This record gives sequence, structure tokens and C-alpha cells, in this order.
Amino acid sequence: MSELIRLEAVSLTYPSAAKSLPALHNISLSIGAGEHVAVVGRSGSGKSSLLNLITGIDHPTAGRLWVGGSEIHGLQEGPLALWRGRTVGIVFQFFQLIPTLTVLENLLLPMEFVGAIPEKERQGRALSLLEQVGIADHRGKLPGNLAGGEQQRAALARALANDPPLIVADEPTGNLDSRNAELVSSLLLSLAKAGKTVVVVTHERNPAGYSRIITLADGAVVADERSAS
Amino acid sequence: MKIQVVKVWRDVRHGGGRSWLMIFALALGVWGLGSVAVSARILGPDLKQNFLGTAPPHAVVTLGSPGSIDPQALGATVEGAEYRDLALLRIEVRPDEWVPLWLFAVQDFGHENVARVVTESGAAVPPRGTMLIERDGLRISDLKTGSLAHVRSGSRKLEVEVSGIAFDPAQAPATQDHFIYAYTDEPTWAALSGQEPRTRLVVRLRGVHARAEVERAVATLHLPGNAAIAVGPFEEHPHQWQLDLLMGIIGSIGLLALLLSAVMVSQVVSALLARQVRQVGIQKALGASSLRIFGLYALYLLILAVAAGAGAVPLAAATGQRFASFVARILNFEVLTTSVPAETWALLIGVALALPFLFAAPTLIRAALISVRRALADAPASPSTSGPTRGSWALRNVMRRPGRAWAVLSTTALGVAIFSTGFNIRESLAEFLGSTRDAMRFDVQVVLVEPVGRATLAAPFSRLLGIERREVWTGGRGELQSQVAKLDDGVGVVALPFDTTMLAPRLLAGRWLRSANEPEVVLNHKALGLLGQPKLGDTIRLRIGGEPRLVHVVGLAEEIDKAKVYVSDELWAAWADPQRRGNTLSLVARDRTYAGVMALKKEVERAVAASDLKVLYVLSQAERTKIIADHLDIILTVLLVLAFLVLWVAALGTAAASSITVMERTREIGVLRAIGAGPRRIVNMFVAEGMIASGAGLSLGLVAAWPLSLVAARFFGALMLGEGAVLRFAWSPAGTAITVAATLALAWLANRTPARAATRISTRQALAYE
Repeated sequence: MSELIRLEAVSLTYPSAAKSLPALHNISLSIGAGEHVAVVGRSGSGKSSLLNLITGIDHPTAGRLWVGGSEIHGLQEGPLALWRGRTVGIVFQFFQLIPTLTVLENLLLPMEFVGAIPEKERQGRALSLLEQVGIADHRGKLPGNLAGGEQQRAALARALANDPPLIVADEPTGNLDSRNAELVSSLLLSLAKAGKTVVVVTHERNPAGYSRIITLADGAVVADERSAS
Repeated sequence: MKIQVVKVWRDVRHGGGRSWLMIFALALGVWGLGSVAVSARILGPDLKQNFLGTAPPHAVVTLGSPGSIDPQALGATVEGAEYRDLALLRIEVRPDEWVPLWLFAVQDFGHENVARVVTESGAAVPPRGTMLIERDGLRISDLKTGSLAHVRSGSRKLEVEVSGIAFDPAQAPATQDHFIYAYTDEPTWAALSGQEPRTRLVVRLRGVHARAEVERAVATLHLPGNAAIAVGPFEEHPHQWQLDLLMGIIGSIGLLALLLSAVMVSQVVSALLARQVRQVGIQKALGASSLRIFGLYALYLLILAVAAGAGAVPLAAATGQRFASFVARILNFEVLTTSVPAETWALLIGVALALPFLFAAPTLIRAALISVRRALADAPASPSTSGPTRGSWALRNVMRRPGRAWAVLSTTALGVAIFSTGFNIRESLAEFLGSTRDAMRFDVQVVLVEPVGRATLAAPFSRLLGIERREVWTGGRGELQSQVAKLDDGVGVVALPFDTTMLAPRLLAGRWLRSANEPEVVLNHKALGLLGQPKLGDTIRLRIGGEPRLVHVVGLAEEIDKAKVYVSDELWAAWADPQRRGNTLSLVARDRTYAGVMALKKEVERAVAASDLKVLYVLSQAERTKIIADHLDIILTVLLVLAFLVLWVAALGTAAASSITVMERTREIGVLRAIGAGPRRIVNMFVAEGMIASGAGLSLGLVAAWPLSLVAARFFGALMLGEGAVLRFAWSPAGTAITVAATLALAWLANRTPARAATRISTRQALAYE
């Protein structure tokens, strides 16, 4: 299994007017392509900070970080945005769809930003992704007219718009009922099975179906378990 | 690109009230600046073109012997010269209402090479025995083409037919000066005036660019030794000062409105982008760079700018044209620029498109450069984390956004200061007019064309019962009187009893005359400028009738008038007029009510009609004050209207800021409602918070209005009364009360409206607000 993500002695500290707030401390880990990883830990343990580093949203204050072979914290803001659009699909807890665009348009937007998918193929690809997540019938609706589970599926489809190798989800089921949570989890699992690297931050006490579970506490990795399967 | 454009378009549409507020704010700025630009583009060149189109004379030469010069033989430096005699007669404009008539003799109608007059209607060349009336005179009289006008020339009462209407934009407007200008041929002029023509020569020179050059060139002309030469301001319309002042006022207030509009636009853009912050984060997470985000929101602004410009640019053009027409009408000139020039349209469109970027650039750049983490973490409802922890809750809430609080405070202060200053200046002018009225303690004045014996002047009125007191002067106020008694350099002289009871001018410094025979003078501030700025107590040399006279400057009088030197009539008689003549009779009415004074004026007119006096005019103080007020009223009105506009724009800025604050705290409103606060309590809370900044701005503005009023009084005083004149600062209690009431009312509305709108959404919606 080739390595997709690599962190070497990475620390992250948030500056604050009063004092610096350490979020992550001396983390070293490696995630291979096709892994289905759950990042767990209590609130404030550094899970979201880790995700922010992997997606290039934050930069480490110490250590080095590679994603897809790129040392992303060395990139300028513009190239970093383009890299993110191509390499990472992000799924947020609160969906974060653009409220003034229809579901279909929400999928077309990242394709326009990145330009990796030829223009004539974009519509077809977006529809296909919506069918994949089971909400193709809602393509013409604004996000506000969809239920929470449907919005999260739309967000998942949007994360796949540019066919990135890495899907990162920050508590994607945290705001859903159990039926929809199960549906979204199974979609993420199927993506991992299809060869995507999926990193999910979750609050679940006993996350199931992941190939690897990384446990954080106080900004450090305290456990890193791989499932037998 | 398509989806991004769709998003931007929908953002504009879903922006609702804020999009409209932004469009309105932009439109206001464009309209204000555009109107000024258009009117300035029309008025400046057009007034100049109107005036210069008449080939105005550079110098007026008065000859001792009629026709003693051939105008065509004055030399190569003369571009044009011809006789244009002027007689000062009187004309009846309505039954028993007489005004001065300036009757010009034109050598050859239609072929004037200097001081051209255009015939607008009626006879192009007035037939013998008739005259043309300048068109502005129609507005102060019942005269028209075909009228038989009653004219008084000295003691003679004549009838002259009005054969046509002329247009002479080189003259001061008849409506403001209450004169009638008329033009006739030389034989008719001679018959009407009883004078021999060809004593007044108007001369236009070649290749001169300034008054000094004119003076030098005129000195080289071969003129008879007894010829008097008058050189006026170089190629300047008589009322250019009014135009300059109007343009100065609307220009400066237009710029202030633009400044406030900028603040408002900046606030609204902040509000719009505050709602978009999370979307910026999402788009960046999806692969959009800062540059692309900047481009998207720049497109957003462009759409709003186009919408604002579509309404404001034509409106600015129309307003500018209307304003130009209005000014042209009051200054009696033709608007020649009938359509807005292409370059002005281009300027307006450029301004409309550039303004939002100019105003919103810092906010836009900040929004584009925000980090993904911060953008995604930032809920619009999130408060500042660095606000103060002391003070009342309302004050702490205000200081959560100190920049916004300062913006509201400063724009309100600016609006209040300007509005209040407008009232103070109006008060200063009202006081000035009041003191002018107080200074002139007569009710009716009879002014002759030339001095006569004092007994001759007083005799026709000796039996009038309505007269309480009378006094005879030589010279007098106004331009014409400057010609009756004057120094050798043309500065007018008013020779009057040192202990006069008819005049008590407001003295800027020093004292009034104390002696009949002491060589002392009081100068008005315009004379002060012309006589080399002597100081109080200085001894200066005046040339009177070719003789140098040493006099002490004992006082400085403030007045709207030509340059004047006040001197004792005894002294004047000893120096220049041994016959002790007079040309001005001032009368105080027994009944000093308006009706009583008007009744006396009619009695005086009848006495004049029955006498042989060559009367220039009979004027009441009430009418005189009206003439001065007519000159200033339009300026004061424009000043106040525009000052209110500034206050109004400041209130809109407050509304925009309040709207942003309420929007940012929508979730907080939900929390407050969830814990029991009713809509009224929430509205009151926001109003109270808003009124803190507005109230502070009001206080600061009222304080700032004092120094601003002092500066403005100096500025307007110098423009209206002449160089060195200071309009005295006057505080307007009524104006301050109106300012306070208007500001508080506008601020209350501006703070309450967005808060009320926010409380209309449900608690659930407010809590879920992003």
C-alpha cells in the first residue's frame, strides 16, 4: 500500500491574545492509499486540527507534512487551493452547501474551480454522482429544501466532484439521525472499498467498519489500531 | 465560470434589503458627485461663453467732449471700440412702481464689435423713438413688446414704446438688482436722456490676459487728457461670485455626501460579506483561490454598481442639467450645452463603476484573504472575542465592533456638524442683514443722478406730512453713488453729517466720525483693501479733485457695498464741493410700519413727479433689504438643503451599520428570546445600543459645528461681502434644536428598523441562523 499522507513530528499551536493554545503535539503518522481511517477522541483532543492540517486549511507550527507526495505547507495560497480542490474532498458536519445554488450546481462549482474535468463531462459526472448517493431527483432543488441526510449526501457527492484520491470528513454523521448516519457511513465505506483514502473524524465510541482507528488525547496520538480485516 | 456567475447573481437577488441598500448608497454617491460634475461642466464654460460672446469691453472711457475720438482710429491694440452711452433714467414697471432704467445708446444695432446685444424677439433694430428691453427685466415688470413704457428723465415724464426684447448676458440680472436695462439708437437716447451722445466709449483690447495688462495697454492709447478711464475685473461676469459660491457649496457638500456614501457602502459591503464569510471558506475548501474569490465578489459589486449606475447616472445628468438651467435662469444667461457631453457621460459611468471598488476594496480584500479555517469557524452571529468586559452591557455590545461604532459616531458627527453649521451660517447672514437694516436708519431714500443744491433737493418734499426727519448726503451707498462723489482713484465717497442719525454702520474696529472738521475717515472693508490695507489710526493720503489730502483712519465699517470712504460733509465741502451740494435725501417716516413706509414712498414718488429733480431712484429700506436678501437667499437655501442631505446620508450609514450588527447577532437574538426576552425588549436593547454611538456622534457634531461655523463664516463672508470681510459667527438655537431633533429621530429610525425586522423571524430560525 503506497503512502498518501505522512506527518513527521508535527505540532500545531493556535496563537491567541492571552496565550498560545497548543492543539497538536509532536505527531508522526502515515496513512496509506485506500485506507479507511477513523480519528477518534474527546472534544478538544485535536481531531479537527489534525484534519485541518491534512487538508491544508492549517499549517503546522513545527514538523513536516506530505499529502499525495506534496509538502503542502510550502505551497502558496493559490496553488494550495487548487491542490485542495484536486486532491481532497471535504465533508463537513453541517454540510456547508452553498445555499443559493441548486444541488446540481453545488457539484458543478468545484469542477469549475479546479478545471480538471472537461466542461462537457461535468453535467453528466455530477448527475452520476448524485445517482450514486441516491438524490438525483433533488438535483434542481436548493439545499434548504432538502432534509439533513439528503444535504449530507449532496455534500458527499460534491466532495467527489473532482475525483480526489482523499476524502476527509469531519463528523459527517454528527448531525444526522441514525438511519441517515448509517447511509452516509456506508457510502464512505464503499468509497474506501473503491480505492479512495477516507479519513473520518468521529465521536462514535466504538467506530465500526474502519480499517484503522487513530485515537487522540490532548493533541497527541495515544492509540493507533488497525483492524484484522 | 457559468455556475460562479449564477451564484453571484443569486447572491445579489437573495441579498434582499441589503442589496437594495447598497444600490441606494452607491446611487446616492454617484448622483451627488455626478450632479455636481454635470452642472459644473455646463455652468462654468457656458457662463463664460455667454459673457465672452458679447465681446465685453475691457475698459470704459468717459470723454469730456462728445465725439472727440474716432473709435476706429484708436490703434492696433484695440480689437473693438464704439460709443455706448448710458443714461440713468427711471421706468414705471407697474402702476406707481418705478425702478432705475439703464438706457444704452447703441451705435449700430446688429453690427456691434464690442458689448454685443442680441435681439430675442420683436424688432431686430428698434425703430426710431422705441427701445429694446433686456429680457430679465420682464420678470420684474409688466412690460412686453408693444408696451408703452413710462419713463422719467429728470423732471420729464416720457412715453417710449417697447419694440422688442434683447438678451445681454454681460449685465447683472435685473431681477437681483431691480434695474431695467434698455437699448435704443443714439437719436432716441439723446431725446430721452436730454444729453448729447458719444461721451462714453467701450473698448475691447487685443492680446490682453489680465487687468494689469489692460491698464498698461489703455495707458498707451491716445486719449484726451480729460478722459476718465475705468477698468473693471478682467473678463468676469458681474455675478461670477454667485456662481463660484454656489459651485463651491454644492461641490464641497457633494464631496461630503460622497464621503458619507463611501462609509455607507463600506458598511453595507461588510454586511453582505459577513453573510458570505462561511461560503468563502467553503469555496476555498473546494479549490477557489483568494484571487478567484476576489473576482467573484468584484463581479457581485459590479452588478450592484451597474444597477446603481443605471438609475443614478441618468438622474445625475438630469439633475445637473436642471440645476444648471436653474442657475442660468437666476443669473440670466443661456445654457448652451444642451446635451451632456460624451466625456462627462464617460466620467459619470466611470465613477459609477469605480466607486464601489474604491469604497469596498479594503473589505473585499479582507474577505478574499480570510483563511479557510477562520471562514468556516466564523458564524456571522459570533461576537468579537476581544471586546471590553467593563461598562454597561449596552456599551460593551457597542464596543464589540469598535470600528463600526467609530464609523457611526464619525459620520453622525460630520452630518450634524455640517447641518448645524448650515443653520449657524444662515443665522450669521440673518444677523448681518438685520444689522445692515439697523445701520440704515432711514425709511426712504431719494437719490439723484447728480448733486444739486441742498435746498433744491429738499424743497419738493418739505410739505410731505409723512416725514419725521430728513438728512442730505453727497454720494451714497451703491455703485452708482460711487460715481457721484469719489476719490481720484474711483473709490466712492459718502459725505454726511458726522453726527448723522440716519446711518450707524456696524464697526469692525475703531469708532465713527466725531468731528465736522477733523480730517478723519471711516472705511468699509472693501475700501480698506483698495487703499492698501491701512491700519486703524494710520494717516493716509487720499487724492480728491487732484489734491492730496491727509486723513486719519478712525474706523472700519462692515457692509455689503462697493468700496466706500465715509467723511464729514463739512470736510468734503471744504475740499471738493464748496457749493455744498447733495444728491441723496434720506427720510424717516412718521409711521415706520411697512404700510406706513410704503405710503410715504408713494407720496415721495408723487412729489418727484411734480418736481424738476433728476431722480435716479426712490428706494425704501424694506426693498433694499429684499434686494440684498434676494442675492443671498438662493445660496442659503441650497446650503441648507444640501446640509440636510449630508445628515440624511449619515442616517443611512447608521441604518446600514445597525443592520449589520443586528444580522450578526441574529443567533444571539434567538438565545435572548429563548430565555424570555420579548420582541419589544430586544428592539429597545438594539435601539439603546445604537443610540450610544449616534448620541456620541450628535454631541461631537454639535461641538465640532462651532469651529466649523467660524471657518465657514469667514469663507462665506469673504465670498459674499468681499476680501477680508468676516461674517460674524452666530449660533442658531432653533437650528441646533432642529439638528438635535432631526438627528435623534433619524438615528432612532435607523436603529429601530433593522432590529424590528430581526425580531419578526421565529426563535427557531434565529437560533439556526448562519
